[in-house]
Amino acid sequence: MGATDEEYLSPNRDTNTPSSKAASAEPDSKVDKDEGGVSKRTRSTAPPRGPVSDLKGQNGYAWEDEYQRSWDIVKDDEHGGRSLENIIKTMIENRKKKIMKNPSTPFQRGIIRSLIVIIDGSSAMSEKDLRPTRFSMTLSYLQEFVVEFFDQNPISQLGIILMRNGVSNLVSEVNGSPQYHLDKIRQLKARQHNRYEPKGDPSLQNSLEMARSLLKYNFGNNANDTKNSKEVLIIFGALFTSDPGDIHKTIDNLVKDEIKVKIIGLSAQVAICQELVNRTNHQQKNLGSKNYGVIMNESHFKELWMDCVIPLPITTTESQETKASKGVPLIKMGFPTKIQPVLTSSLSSNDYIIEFPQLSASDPTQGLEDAKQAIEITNNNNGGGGLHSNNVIGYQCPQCKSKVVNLPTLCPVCGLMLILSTHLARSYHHLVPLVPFKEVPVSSKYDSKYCFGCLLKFPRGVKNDGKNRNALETMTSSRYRCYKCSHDFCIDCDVFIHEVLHNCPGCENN
Amino acid sequence: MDAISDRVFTESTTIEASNDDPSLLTVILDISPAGWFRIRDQISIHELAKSLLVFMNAHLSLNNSNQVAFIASSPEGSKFLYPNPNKNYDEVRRHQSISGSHIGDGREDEQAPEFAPTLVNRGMYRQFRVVDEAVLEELNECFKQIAKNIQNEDQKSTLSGALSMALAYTNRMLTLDQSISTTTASAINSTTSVNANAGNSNSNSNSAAGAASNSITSMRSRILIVSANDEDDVKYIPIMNSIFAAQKMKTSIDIAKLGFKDSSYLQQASDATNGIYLHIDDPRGIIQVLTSAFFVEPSIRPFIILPTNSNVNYRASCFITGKSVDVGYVCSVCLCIMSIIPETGKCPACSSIFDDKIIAQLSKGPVVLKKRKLDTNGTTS
Amino acid sequence: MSSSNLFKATVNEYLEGLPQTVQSKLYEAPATCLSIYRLLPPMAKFYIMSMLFNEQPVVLRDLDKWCKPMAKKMQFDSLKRLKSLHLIEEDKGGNHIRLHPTFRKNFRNCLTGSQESNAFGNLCVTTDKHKVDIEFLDTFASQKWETILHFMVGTESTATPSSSVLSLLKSGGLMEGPGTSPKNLKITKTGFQFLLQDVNAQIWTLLLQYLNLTQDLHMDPVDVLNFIFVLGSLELGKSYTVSSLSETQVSMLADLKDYGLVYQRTDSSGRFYPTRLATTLTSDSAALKTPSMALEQALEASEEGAEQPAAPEAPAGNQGTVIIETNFKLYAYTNSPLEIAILNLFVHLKSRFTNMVCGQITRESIRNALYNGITADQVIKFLETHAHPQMKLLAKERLDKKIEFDTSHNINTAGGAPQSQAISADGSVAQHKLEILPPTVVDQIKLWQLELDRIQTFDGYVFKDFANQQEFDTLWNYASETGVLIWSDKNKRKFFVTKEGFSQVADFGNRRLPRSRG
Repeated sequence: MGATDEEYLSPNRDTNTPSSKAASAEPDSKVDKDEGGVSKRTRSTAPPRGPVSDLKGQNGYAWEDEYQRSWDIVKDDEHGGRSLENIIKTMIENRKKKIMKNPSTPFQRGIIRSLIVIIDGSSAMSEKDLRPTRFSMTLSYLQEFVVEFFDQNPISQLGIILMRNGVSNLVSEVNGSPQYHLDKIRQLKARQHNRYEPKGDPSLQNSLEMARSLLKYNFGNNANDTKNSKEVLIIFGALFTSDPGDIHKTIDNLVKDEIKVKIIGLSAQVAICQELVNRTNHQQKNLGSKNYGVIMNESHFKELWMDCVIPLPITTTESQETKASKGVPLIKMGFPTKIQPVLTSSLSSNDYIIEFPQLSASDPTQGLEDAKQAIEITNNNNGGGGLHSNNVIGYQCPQCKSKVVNLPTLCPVCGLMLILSTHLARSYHHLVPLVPFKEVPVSSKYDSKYCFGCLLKFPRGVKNDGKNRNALETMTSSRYRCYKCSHDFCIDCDVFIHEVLHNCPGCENN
Repeated sequence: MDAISDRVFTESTTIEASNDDPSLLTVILDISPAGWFRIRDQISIHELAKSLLVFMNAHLSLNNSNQVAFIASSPEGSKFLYPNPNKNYDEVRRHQSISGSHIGDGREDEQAPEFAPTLVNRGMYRQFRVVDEAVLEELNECFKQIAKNIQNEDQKSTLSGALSMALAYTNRMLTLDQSISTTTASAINSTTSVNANAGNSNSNSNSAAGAASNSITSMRSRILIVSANDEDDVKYIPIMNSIFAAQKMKTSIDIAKLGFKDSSYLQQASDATNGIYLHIDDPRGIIQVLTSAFFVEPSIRPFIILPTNSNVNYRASCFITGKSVDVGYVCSVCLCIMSIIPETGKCPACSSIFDDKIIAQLSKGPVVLKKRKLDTNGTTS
Repeated sequence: MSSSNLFKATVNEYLEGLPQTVQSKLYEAPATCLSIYRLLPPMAKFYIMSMLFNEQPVVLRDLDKWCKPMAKKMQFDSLKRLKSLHLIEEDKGGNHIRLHPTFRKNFRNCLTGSQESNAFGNLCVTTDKHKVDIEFLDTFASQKWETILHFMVGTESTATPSSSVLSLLKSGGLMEGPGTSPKNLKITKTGFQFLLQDVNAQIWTLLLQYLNLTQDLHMDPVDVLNFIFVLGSLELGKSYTVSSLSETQVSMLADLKDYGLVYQRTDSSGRFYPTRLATTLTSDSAALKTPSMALEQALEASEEGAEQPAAPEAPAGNQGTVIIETNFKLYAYTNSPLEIAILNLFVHLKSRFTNMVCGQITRESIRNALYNGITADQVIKFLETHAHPQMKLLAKERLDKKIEFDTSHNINTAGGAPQSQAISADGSVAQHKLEILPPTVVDQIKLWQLELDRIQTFDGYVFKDFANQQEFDTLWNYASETGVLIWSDKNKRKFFVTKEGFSQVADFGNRRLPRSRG
């Protein structure tokens, strides 16, 4: 029976690598496979979490660390075989803990942040102290960052600048769509070895000025000034900057425009960076702050990245302001309707009836493009052409009925903040966290026979006679109960419900 | 010449552009009585159920390994009508084949005169018959339940629950193990299970390892929701959560909306998952719509221009009143949406206190709308 | 999938070759309608379903509008298939199409369950004195079927199949030899090819051969086909009455029993049981299990029934047994003489152990197979379908990695058309193929075949003497879109299309280029 239960649990630990499910049913080989699964898991999950927390205790650098093999984690106790089960159990526990940790108290998020990420593309970035190079690692972390950023800050906007060869290049415009940025980063990544290989000197001033103009341009109308936080994040690999003018003036301007700068240094602390950070964040001079971090190793790098996902704390002057008015801002928003050109085919008329999209109020050129596409469709028609309907969509402001192409945005006509409800809803599961399910204690009889979610049949209860007490200890009931609705779920559904769905099917039905 | 010899290599790849992967169709039927009562002169739920059965048969007829599931969502709660693990379909069939006209334990027969005494034609194709019988029988049971509790005041849609169940089931069929024999649910209708009640966990775990690898061909899935519910009483957050889950699983949610109003949440569901949303004004010929517009299998979905007859209304739901809003207020801490400014000046979800100035400014909004520019200038200075 | 396509192709070919009157007659049986429907490509299924409950004929141009432009080839293929099966009829102008009325009526009945009750066989209502369970049926079927295969391979000390089977093998060209004595029969090239197919395809090959024979015996092919299709929709483990069958079908029973498709206790028995071979006739390989495997499953099931923890050594579903390495070494975990004999056709086997054989794929061994008339594709298909689950898992992992790599680097290693990027949002995987076998091996086997046949012939038509480049481009685009283009030379403005595609392209040309073409 021991083997059975192990297997029963297996989908959980295989969530990372579902394919590692072994084909063989022989117990010996199964144990082997399990070990394989364990080490795989530790390999994939340990680096992001484990070592980082370790680092803070011992002031370890990556090169001072003892080399850790993934299989070292598997330790045999005197019972040999039993250890595996313990590991699995702890892993389940860990997962549970992770779930528990997620829904902490809601922090202030979702203020309309606009963030410019400046990445260093100078020759210092081709160093290989991060694998494979500083630059490509930065890019891959940037991708993760973008996803995470928009997940946590659904109504914020982001832009990316590359400083390379003494000038600053715009990688992606300030935009609210993660997909757009990911595409741009991907393009950059694809060309990192030829067209955009790290080259030349970095120029902080040039890129900061560009960032400033981007931030000013996008939120030039001060209608929403109070609600915006304007931020710049610099990934700085070099130890110097070669600027055309006086960078201190630029810093003054940044301070004036209330743009806050954060820096992640890849090699060592640089004085000008420290000053930049301190001044823009209204901090005292010569004070180390968490806004300027220098990485210790790869995982620390990632941690610093992820720290930037959380909105910057409100600076003293601002917090005084808010204290004076006591309370958080309330934002008026509109939820627009998606409009598609009417596309019908009928027996009477042989052509599509197309409602031409009006020029978009927010972005006239884009509107033009759409209109062009629509016209093309009519032309293609006799050739039997169709269309990619997803290209010709727009959104209508509920207040003034003007049409825009991209969301989220401020309505250019009436100034209303326009947003898709799905943007907001993505983070709602943080609001109403799902209580963790508890494992049903092992008993000889259970109320439930099937998983409420997927109808999997549960194993039957086992009679509690003295003989197989040992077996009983290692057994699980394979039932995980939501104590709100007292429905039982299998481990797979438990994982699925807590990590993907965030709804309890049972509670929803009451 | 190069071109010709090349073809030997390329030929096989072009054929596989769309292979015939088995797919899972989950039908969710909203049977909340109010909605159906309102359109009673257009179509009865019985007629619709019949059409749905034909639709499911059509899905099964596509491929031998295709699967269906049927969930009824009523104010009493959602329920899997098929597959139903408490039922031994084999038994039902045997029973029926011996006794001729009786199905199950025969008690449905007298009490459900709407349907023919034998719920479905005995000579029907085996796969169809098992599903149809189970669904009809259980559906009648559900109607009785509803009739009993009709006086109950608290009538709330459980569509979100049904959707959650459908997704959990899809998740099992899709990602965890596509092995047909692992879930008892599917073991029932696979011909191999002679003794379906013997499928205890031992067998499950044993066959899981082997079987999972057998079926490399991945299952695809979609969900069809049929609803006549005109109330906007769908729980907003759970529905949204389900939508995102479906998005992640690449499961399309198709919506057939009857009744008089569009449901903006269901529209969002289909729009976000590459599904089909149709508001069917005249449901009398619904089978025709089901078998054409709603018959786009996941395997050919990339190639078909999806039919949709309406603009999607991306409205959100107010956290206080539960009504949908198109212009509302959003708490900047927790992003909860309000259609009105709460009198307490506190956020209903996270109870942070709102800025008095901003509230004052917003609440006089409509009166001074033309002076908006002035106002905002005032605050920034 | 690949193997199911194979048997679908053979059956489809046969059905398409039938005269229209026979086809029309076939559509009178609901079971046949269902089976034929299942054999169609997905797009064709969609078309049929959307026309099924639509009383009006459909405008052909509307069909165009349902699909995105890039699916043109699929659409063209589907319509061609439907036309050749005469499932759709065009009106005189060629603008409207409608479903074959008989097919439509019967398929509709089948879906709604309003067909006659015996369309899917008549269940025996009385209980059988001689109880027959599924396990027995599986043993029976596999024994019968493997006897035939063993006989073909020439395994020693096997029983000789019945004379009807022998004559079928002979007339099908699978075996040849002088006289009627079974000892003189030797396997032919087609016989070797036959062995490489999966069970489903093999049965269909034999059944189609059987159909050819029936014409000589003055049996009604419609009756025979209907019975075969009905068999495919019967229920395993249930008995059906003989009395409801037509005379032709009763006479078929004895033959089918010889193939292991049905079980009948005695020839005069009033009931028959379909075996698994029969009930999976119209399903694809995913649902099909080899008889020996099914047997194991049944054994396993019985163990479960006894509430014991399943025996640890029970091998779970060993559908595939073959492992191939990139260095052309092959290991097969099998001790079935049949499988080893088949492997021996194209593998240089080196050593044999109790539960496995090792061998090497060499140029010589493949050449041998090619000389025997086995094609490279067949070898590859065989290896793919018999690949060890572990290989499939590995392949899947590799594919996932590849897709991940592609998406993160914005490149396309799959070598698909660049415009496919547009669909990547919904069907990114479509570009990548699951490579179960090492690509080196696959390519090499194909190259070895190419060594032998350096010239391929196609029947078709050349288009040339275009007035201008634009004219050429329009037609050329159309031809390549519909997939009928075989060769083209842009500089000389010539291209070559298949025989079937000619009329299509010519029609298109006449429509699009109103001036008289050169």
